[in-house]
Amino acid sequence: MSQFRGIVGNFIIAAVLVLSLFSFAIVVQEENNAADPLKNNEVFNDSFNKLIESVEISSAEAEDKYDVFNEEDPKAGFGSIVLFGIVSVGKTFSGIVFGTFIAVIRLPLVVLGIPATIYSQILTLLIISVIVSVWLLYKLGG
Amino acid sequence: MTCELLSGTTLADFLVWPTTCSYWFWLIILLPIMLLLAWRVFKAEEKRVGEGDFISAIAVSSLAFSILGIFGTLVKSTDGIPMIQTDILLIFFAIAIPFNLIWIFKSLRA
Repeated sequence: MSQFRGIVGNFIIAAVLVLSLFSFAIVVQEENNAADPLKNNEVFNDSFNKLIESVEISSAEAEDKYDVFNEEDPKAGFGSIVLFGIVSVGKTFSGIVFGTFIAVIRLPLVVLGIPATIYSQILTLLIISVIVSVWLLYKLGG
Repeated sequence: MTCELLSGTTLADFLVWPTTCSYWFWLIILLPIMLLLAWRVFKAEEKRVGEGDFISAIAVSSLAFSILGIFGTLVKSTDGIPMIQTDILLIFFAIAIPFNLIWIFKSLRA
């Protein structure tokens, strides 16, 4: 519920898993001249492109935040060291979590026709988990 | 329901032929086999570890059937009709993704 590193890490693993499955399908079908390639399907293509975009953004943002963290000048606070860079890291990575979730869940939502209410409930749970974990990240430093 | 006559004599023609009778034929056949495989995996895990996880069993078997489905789309009849249609493959993907997500996130809580 509250491990920020775990939530982000699991979302990246999920994105890579789904992306590799999609890529495998595209490559195998292209190499073997499939009669009806998946990449011609609108829903699949949309989900695949959004996922690639999300993974690219997450790697770019991770590099940016590493630079921010590197350039930070630590200040001594009340019984601890204050790092303002961690706030920006928390905000950015929580954005990545939602972007990846929306990209990964898009295909099942459209294909299986899952009601919007269930999607909203899962999203609510995710938002609460991310808020709690980001708050703990600020408070305890990870 | 009318079925077309076999257009060729190859194995691919024979495999594609049921889809001319029913578009969802391979989904109806493969989905129960997938659930059966999941049940077998669950039981094997239960026997080996002591307790099984049905979510992870479904996640693994749906992933396996998604890959099997990709190969199924490569089999085509002499008329160029694929054995497994894109819609059916997408259904396998759509089943595999949520179960794999749940499986991955269960490890976070553990």
